[in-house]
Formats: sequence, structure tokens, C-alpha cells
Amino acid sequence: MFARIEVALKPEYADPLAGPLLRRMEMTDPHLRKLVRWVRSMTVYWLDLPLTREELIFASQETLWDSVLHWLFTGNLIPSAAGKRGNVEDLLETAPNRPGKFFALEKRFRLGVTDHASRTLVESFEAVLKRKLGPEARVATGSMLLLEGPQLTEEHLARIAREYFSNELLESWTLLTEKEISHTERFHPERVKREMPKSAPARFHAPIERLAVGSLTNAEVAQFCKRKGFSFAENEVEAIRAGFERDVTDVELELISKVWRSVPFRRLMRAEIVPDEFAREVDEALGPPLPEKLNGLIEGTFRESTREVPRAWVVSAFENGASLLQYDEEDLLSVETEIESRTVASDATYGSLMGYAETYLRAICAGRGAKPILATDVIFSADLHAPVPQGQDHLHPRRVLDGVKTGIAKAGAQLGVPTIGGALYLDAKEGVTPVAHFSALSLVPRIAGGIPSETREASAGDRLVILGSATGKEGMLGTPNVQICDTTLLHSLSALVAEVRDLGWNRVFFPCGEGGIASVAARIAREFGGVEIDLDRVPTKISGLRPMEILGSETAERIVAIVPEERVEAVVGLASRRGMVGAEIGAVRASGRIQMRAPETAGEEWIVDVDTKFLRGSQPRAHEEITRAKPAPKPGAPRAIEWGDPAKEGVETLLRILSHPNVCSREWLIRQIDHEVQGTSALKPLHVASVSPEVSHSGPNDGGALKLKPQSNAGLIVATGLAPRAAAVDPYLMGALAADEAVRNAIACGADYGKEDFLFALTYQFSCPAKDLQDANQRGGLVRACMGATRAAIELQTPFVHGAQQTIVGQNSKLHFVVQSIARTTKVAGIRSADFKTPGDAVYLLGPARFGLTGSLVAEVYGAVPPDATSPTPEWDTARRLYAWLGGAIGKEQKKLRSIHDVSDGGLVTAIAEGCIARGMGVALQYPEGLPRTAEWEFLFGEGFHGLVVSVGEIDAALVETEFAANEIPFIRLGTVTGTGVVQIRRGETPSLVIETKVLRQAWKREGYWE
Amino acid sequence: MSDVKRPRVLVLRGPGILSENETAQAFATAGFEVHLRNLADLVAEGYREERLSEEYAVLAIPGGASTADELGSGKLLALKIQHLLGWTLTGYAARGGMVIGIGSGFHTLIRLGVFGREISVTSNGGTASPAGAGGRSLQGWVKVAPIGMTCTWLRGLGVVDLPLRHPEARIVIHPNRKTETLVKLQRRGLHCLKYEGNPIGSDENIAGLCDLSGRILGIMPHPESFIRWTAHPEWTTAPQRANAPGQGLAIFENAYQEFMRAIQPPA
Repeated sequence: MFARIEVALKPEYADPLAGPLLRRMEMTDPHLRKLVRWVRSMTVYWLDLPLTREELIFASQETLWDSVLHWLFTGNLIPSAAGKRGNVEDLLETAPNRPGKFFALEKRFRLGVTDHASRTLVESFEAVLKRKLGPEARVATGSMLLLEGPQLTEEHLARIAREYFSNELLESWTLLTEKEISHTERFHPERVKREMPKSAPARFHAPIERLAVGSLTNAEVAQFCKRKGFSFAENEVEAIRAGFERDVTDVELELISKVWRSVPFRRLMRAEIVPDEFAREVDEALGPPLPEKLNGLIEGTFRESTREVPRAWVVSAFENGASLLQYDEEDLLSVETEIESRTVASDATYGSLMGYAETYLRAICAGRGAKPILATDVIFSADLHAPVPQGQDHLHPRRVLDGVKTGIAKAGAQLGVPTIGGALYLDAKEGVTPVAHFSALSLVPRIAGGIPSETREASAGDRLVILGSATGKEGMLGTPNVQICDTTLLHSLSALVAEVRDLGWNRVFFPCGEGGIASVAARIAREFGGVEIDLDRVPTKISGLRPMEILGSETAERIVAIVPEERVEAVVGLASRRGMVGAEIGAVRASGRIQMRAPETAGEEWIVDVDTKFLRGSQPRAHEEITRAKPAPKPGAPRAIEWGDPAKEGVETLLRILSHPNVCSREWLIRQIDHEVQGTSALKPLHVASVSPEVSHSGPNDGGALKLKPQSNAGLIVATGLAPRAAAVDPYLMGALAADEAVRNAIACGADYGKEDFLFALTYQFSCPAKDLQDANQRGGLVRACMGATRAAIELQTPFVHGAQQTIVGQNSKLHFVVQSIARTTKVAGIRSADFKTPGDAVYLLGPARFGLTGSLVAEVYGAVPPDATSPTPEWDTARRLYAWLGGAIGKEQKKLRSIHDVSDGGLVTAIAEGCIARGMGVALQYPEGLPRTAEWEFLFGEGFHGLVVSVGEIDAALVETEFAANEIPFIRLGTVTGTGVVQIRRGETPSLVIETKVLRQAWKREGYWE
Repeated sequence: MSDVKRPRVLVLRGPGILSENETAQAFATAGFEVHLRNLADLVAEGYREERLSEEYAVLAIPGGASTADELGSGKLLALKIQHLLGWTLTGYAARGGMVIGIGSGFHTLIRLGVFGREISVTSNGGTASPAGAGGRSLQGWVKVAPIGMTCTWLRGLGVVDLPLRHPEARIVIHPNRKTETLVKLQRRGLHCLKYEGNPIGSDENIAGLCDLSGRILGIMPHPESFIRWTAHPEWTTAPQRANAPGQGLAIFENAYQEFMRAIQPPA
């Protein structure tokens, strides 16, 4: 039976779609917003179900109608479920201007885009009717936006549809006139039948294409590869030619392409990198010169720190499976990262959700199956106050960032992972599309189902079982490059992984995300000796998929499990009971080969038969030269001028910094993303004074912490470091600053440091414009950033264990370089937040205080630096002592500290202000007289390495100072916390900066999307 | 100690349920023997409500996304409980069982009609903006206060701080029958927990409802996330209390005490 059902919220309730849509319009196109006088949304269902009319009415009422909230418009199916008139007129009558001029926009998913809501509706109908409806049951969902505005034209409505209501990549939309809205013709079964999405037709099984690599020219091979979407370099084609003494199938090329990741950026990662003399040069204070040659970017930089700082708790690092760290006796920690820009450009919400989900998928496959316990997101976005870009292809940065936020919030809420760390960095020079860096940590039981997790073992004869969603054309050429992730299914998949693991039914899991089955097959062959797969046995969503498509399909809702033969039936049965696909598709073999066939579509012969050694060892290594050009002055770059007296200009400077987009409150973002789920977060992204949303105030913390286990006092700490402004000075400095900040922030949160074999690891993430890789200078900058971070990691004895990298295509951008730290504290009670807590507490600056103005935020704010401004300089020996004291390895009085906050963007004064804001505290501080002017600015607002502001009860101050002295920790006692609500900083005896805390709070809270 | 019979709690798990482990932990800390069961397995077994009464002192429906934001949070789960398991829960409570639905588990209880058909909840996948919230949908902590003596779960509880995860989910009363419904809720003691202030715009500040027996509680904020003091956003002001229990634990302990009272031999 065909039916159309429209579900509208009663007018008494705020519209969840229309409200935010109008808000986004107001923020980005106020003129268009003024033309819309009224708007209301409805959900639309198109049904084609094998039901009687009575069954349909009963099931629809049970599933779709909440008599408190909804009106249902159904034509004449259920007239009693609406208002007085029983049709959409009931809703139109609530518009303030009657008679008005009404329009409607209706949208629905394009063919091939997965409509998860339709699946939910079928499932609910089946529950109500207590029977399966079978494959002939079809449902499509969409929504309708009713608008009123006498001056709205078709052009306006098209803009609303494209920019605010739908994503044309995934959805199609139509415009309805008032007459069409009021008419019930759209409910007619024949009309519904016409509008039902057509099933994808069974396609002709395309034959396997074979490439005679031995007899074709390079140009002919290149042409073939281009048509198929491969981007092999010329020497890679040569390697393929040499590796095969026969024709190569397109499926084999797909496999090789996925495994070799044959794109220029990936080639750089494993290239032989040769810096020239300029690129090798490094400031003596920062570290030694670059080596004459690096064997691969990651191998030559970050992995060097892993080798230089060997740690017993590193179970595996930089492996294809997640990096594993030993958290305690019972559990390992796994680390996963992912960077998204291309999919975010296609759809901000679904793109960011997909990035998050991919990270989650890899996280659950860690070890022999893992539970994600926290997520962090670092987002680089265009300035939110940038002028509205012209043209239909651009959305306003606020609109895009709002989408990213929604995607992350949705993923976090539906997958149940707390987001407790990260950053948002805004830059006027960024392109419109944000670049999102995702990380996930998960907990892996050391022993599960009686088997140690760190031992990845499988035997010839073990079976491959695919689990999760059926395979479609996800990630293939010609499909939208963003998918709508089914988070409910993904979460169920996570639960299935844990269940199978705890029963001891699996050996290992492999995610079918990046690289799909091709990547999985290569990994299995490499780890366990060989693999055989029957592609015809992979369950598919649509008929007629070619073997090459099945091999390359990528999604965040699918994994392959290696299962002993005797457990296959149980695993498949369990998957089926949990509502997902499960099918045996192949086996582990001791053949040393990757072999695949598809008997139904390609006959009995192998369509893939590739030697594992060829895949692993035959990819040619590129040769990349890098240099370092002196940065040319650019318009808008800081220029050298004399600065005024900080005593006169300090307050204004502080207010400008606190309201700067990269310092001001992120509460508007943080509190829309769940950081409480799982109930483990012990240090949240914001410290809060007074629990009550109406009167509470918050301030920033330096990182996040989890108390993972009720019976253990230990805690897990994560923090982020980034220093993008320093790239203009020297990318090497940027890398070193980022690593030091990541370490410093974790220590500020309470991480152990310096104790015997203390757990303290770093991860990197970088993304850079693809076009930069063609420039030896830009390549040099990337290498130097990696080297700087590596040097800092070695100096601080905190090795890198994992990372991710990505290119940014299709927009202006720059190198984004992020370092994150993962650390442990043996006592959660030692965790500190950044806020000053008690009047009378003594305030100290710890660290060498060698801050610089070059590359600082204050220099950016003023667009200038003094001629004698300096760059930040590290003192690694001092840093190790300072961090070891704070981290509990030396001394015992560090537990007396009441607050710790790192000195970063905006320098010392900003750190002090941030410590006062939440509780409305004041401070009475003093700094030395007689400093030269630039040095005074650098002391107050400069930025650099190893700086921390701490407070301690006055009664404990002497004890703490004694330990500072005993351990040669540089400190300056600045003064005391006060209850006056005034920040008072004196130069010697002369008041220099005096300002009420509530004014600072206003400045800090000034920014935010919703304003 | 080992001779003391521990009450058993059935904590539901299944698609979209996210907080089953926290909920299980909270009950375990309070003294319960915890069984986590997948809804699909219960359906496959034909697990009737009578058996639930025999085997479990408490049924917990944890929070999460509860599978069907598209149909309304908790809706699909409620349909499965109602139509595939045939549970009414009021019968279970009448036989001495206790039920708690937290967050979207509360929504499930609402969809089941446990608190009457005039009550509902707005839920829109995290994008709804409650009237008066200026378009904001904020995660955060709230203060909630018990009302009356009806609810067994909230006995002896004062004003407590608890985390709120989906502030767009407002409890609402049928607009045409608001007055009589409110009178009914108050007279029968069903409105058992209210928000201090009105942070999210729930009708009558409703943060929790119970049934007539007081043994079925639906609660919007998450007590299972505050069983340790270190979860509180201000705990670092008093680090010496780091190992103290959180205020949410008392709710689970009340259920334990209720069971222990019930099995005490008459004096």
C-alpha cells in the first residue's frame, strides 16, 4: 500500500529545524532573513508497504504520532491526527500574517544515499506488527519547509534551499507553491507511487578488465589508470610492469593502489628526503642541524623519538594496527587519529561525523577489540567575522563551522564517547572549509577471552568474516565523497566487537575504513602469511557491484574479523541477532599471496593473485629535495616599530587579547559537545564555578582528565599543543613549541612526569595544502616542523607513538601542525584546574621566563614587533627539572599547589586573567622594575617554552619555595590572589595594570557563534 | 557477608543505549548484582514480565540515543518493549520490582505511557532549541530537588548537582490538558523531581517523574555519572575529597535499601 505521511510539531513547540535555520540565516545573510516572516518544518514519509489499510493506520499511529507533540497530515488516512481542518492548513493558520504568501521547499535523499531513518521506520513497523515486512517494504524520508514572506522570490527560495535547507550533493529539493501545499493531491497513492525512489537497477556485470602492462607504453598505462581513478607515479608503473609477467587486472591495480596509497603526499611520507644547507640549519638553542638525509618523513623524524626514548609501556607504535600503550596491569591504551577536509567540504555535518566515525571504527578494532573512552577534536577554520563569500559555491564560515560542530556533537552523543580535549583555531587566511583533526583513545583489555590482546595471531585456515553494514559504492568514483554514517549501527558494531572478543571467538579485527577490503587483505597477508577472498560472498546493498567496487568500498560501519573456523557460525549468528550483516568471505592462507576470485561474475580463475612481497617491497621510493628560503615580508605581517609603555597600554592590550578569536571563551562550542558521557571525566575542558547554568561562570583548563576505573586512583590525561604563528618565524620553532605545550599542558593538569618509566606519549597530526608539496621550500617547512617537534620530544623524554597526516585540496590553507600528549597520573587527587581558588594564595611564575614577542599573539594583535624583540628559547634541562617536580618525581610539596595554568597565547598576564575569570577572583601582583621596554612587554605578554602560573596556600608558600630552590627550579613570586575582584599588577611599587575581573570576563566571553 | 543475598538488577543494552556500563557500575557500587542483557536476546527468548519479576529486583533502562532520534528519542525501544516483550512495567512494579529510566531511558518510559498519555518529551537529535534558551543547547550540570515522598528512589535526597546531557529534551504536558494533568501529577506525587531554576524550559521544571507506586522513576539528569566526587565540575576546589562518593550514588543506594527492607524478616 502506498501512503504519504507528514509529521509536524504542534505550533506550541519550538521547531528544531526552522529555529536554527533562521539563526544561521540571521548570522550570515540578514537581508534574506528579513524576507522570511514565518517558517515551519515537517518530516515527510513516503511509504510502500505490504500492509492492509487498517494495519497501516495502526502502525502509523503507534510509531509516528505523539498526540502531545504532533499533528499528522495523511490525506484522508488518519484525519483525526491533525487539528481542526485535518490538513496542513492547520499549520499555515498559525503564521502571524494571514492571508500570507506561502511556499514550501521539499527535500529528500538522492538515489544511492543511505536513508537511515527509513530503516528505523521499517523496524518500528515490524515491532508493532510483530512480523517482518520483507524486502518489498520501501520507505523514503524527507522534510518540508513551509515559509511565508510576500517578497520572497524563486531566487530567494532557491538560495534558502541550497545554502540553508539542503545539501545538493546528497539531497534533491523541489519548490511548492501555496496551491500545491494546500492541495491533497500529493497524498494520492498513484502520486506517492511515482515519487517513491526507484531501486537501483541490477546492472550488467562488467567484465574484469585486464591491462597488458608488458606490451603497452607508459602513456597507454597512464591513460588506463586515469580512467580507473588510479594515480600511480611513472616509476610505480615501471615497478608494476616489472613485478608482473602477465596481464594485470583492474582489481589487482585497485589493490595495489589502495595498499601503496599512490598519491604524491603519501609518497613524500616514505621518500628519501635531502635537505640543502639552508634547510639543515637550526638555531643552536633549539637543537642540532637536520641530518643530510632522511629516509621517509615519519621514519626520519617522529619515529626517531620512539627509538631515542625507548619505553617499556610502548607495546606497539606507528604500526598499521593502532599504537598500543600499557595503561595498567589490566588494560592497554590504543590511539587513533584521522584528519578530514575533503568530506567536510562536501558536507560539514556529515563530513565531520564521518571523520569522527572513521576514527571510532579504527579505535574499536585495536588489539583484539577495544572500547573508545575519549575523543579530541582540533579544528582549523576561517575567521568567523570574515566577509560573506560571494557565489553559490561558498557558505559562510560560521555556517560551515556550525555544521562541523553539529556533526561532532551528533557523533559524540550517538556513539557515547566524551570529547574532553582539543582546540579551535581561527585564521583569516584559512579557506572556508574547516580542517578537522580527530583523535580517539580506547581501552583494550590485556587479556580477553583468555587471550592476550597484544598478541595478534591467526593461523592458516582461520576464516574472514565481514561484519556491520552491507557493501555499496561508498568511497568509489562517481559517488558523493561524503557518506551519512549510521552511528547507531556503528555503536552496535562496537558492542558486537566487545561481545565476540569477550567470548574469545575472534583472533583480530580489521576496519574496512580507508582502503576497504583491499587494505584489509594486504594487512592480513602481511601479518599472517596470505589470504584468499571470494568477493561474491561479500553482502552488497545493491546488485551488480563490480569486484573492483567491492574491493575498494570504504565505510565506517564495516569490519572484517578473523575467526577460527569452528566459530564462524556463532559469530555470523550473533551479528544477525544484533541486526547487522555477517558473512564468511574468505580464509587466511600460508600462500604468501593475496588471492581473490568472484566465481559468479568472473569465473573460477583468480582475479587477484599478487605476491605479498611485491606489495610490501616493490613500491619505489621517491627522492625529494627540500630547502629553506628566508620568509619574504608579506602585507599584514608584523613590522618593526617601537612599542609604548605597557603601564599605559597593558589593560587595552589584555582586553584585546582576551576577546581575540583564538583566546576567548569556547564555551559555546564545548558545551554543545558531550564531555560527560561514560561518567569518567575528572577534568573537563572548562573549569566551572557554581553549578547552575544560569549563574555559573567558566574558565579554560589546559587539558582533560579521566578517572577510568572506580577501584583505581589513577587517571588518564590528554592535552594539545599548537603554535601556528611561530611558523612564520621558523617551522622548526613551531614544532618544538607545539610539543612543549602539549607536554606542559598535561603536566599542568596533573600528569606524572619523570618517575620511573612514567607513561607520557605524544601524537602528531598535520595537514597541509596539496600545492605546497610541489614547492621545495614549503616541503622544507613541513620537514622542519616535524624535526622541531621530534627534538622537543627527545629532550623532554616523551616519545611520539602515533600520528596522522593529510593534504588539503581545493582551497587556500596553510600547514596545520598539532601535537597531543597522553599521560597518566597515579593519583587523580593530584589533578589541578587552572582557576585561582582562594584569596590569600601565593601566585608564582615557574620556568625560565624566556618569552619572546616574535610569533606571539600580542604581535599579531598589533601587527608589529619592537625592533629588539626576541624569539622564544627553550631550556630543556630546566624544563625537565620543572616538569619532574610538578610531575611528582622529585620533591613532595607539589601536591600543595591549588592551581596550575600554562603560559601560552597572550603570555603571562593573559594566563593570570584566565585564572581569575571563573570565580571572579582578583590578584595583587608585582613584577620587577627597570626592565627595558621590550623585555617588559615580553615578560608580560610574550610567549615561549616551559612557563606556568601556579598558586599555593600562603601557609605552604615557604615550603614550596624551599623545594624550588633545592631543585633549581626558576620561579618568581608574583603576589597573591585576592577576593577584591580586581586584577592589580604593579611595576615595582607603581600600579601598571588595574582592571576589574568582571570586565575581563566580559571581554573573554565576547566572542561566540550564537551572538 | 557472602551469605547475604544481593538484589539483582537487569540493565538493558542494545542499539542506541550508551550508558549501560556507567549504570551497571552505579548499581554495583550500591551493592547490586548486575546483569547486562541485550534487548534482542530478551526478545528472542520471549522473556515475559513475570519472569522479570521473579529474577530481578530492579530493571534499569540506561540513557543514550535509544536508536530512533528520527521517531523521537526512546520511541523504538519503547515499541519493542511494549509489542515484542509485552512488558507494561506497572505490573512489574506492583509485584515489587523497581524501574529506573535515565535520560533517554526516561523518554522510553514516557513513550510507554507509564506516566500517562498527556506527558511527552521533545527530542530532536541534539538540534532542538528550547524556547527561551536563545538557540543554545548546552551540556552542563544542573541542580535538582526532590518533591514529596512518593518516590522510593529519591527518599532522603536533598538538592543535588547532576550532569544533564540532552538539554533539548524537555518534558512537556499536552497543551490542551495541561491544568488537569498538572493537578493529577501533583496530587498523586508523580512529579517527584524538579530543576532548580528553569535551565532548559521543561514544563513545571519537571526533571523526574514517578508512577503511582513510587517504584518507577524516570529522571532526565544522569545520577549514574555522579557516583564519584571527581566527576563534579568543582571538585578540584576540595581535592582531599577526591575519593568521596558522588551525590548520584544515593539514588541507587535507595533502591538497595528498599530491597533489603523488603527481605527483612518481620520483627
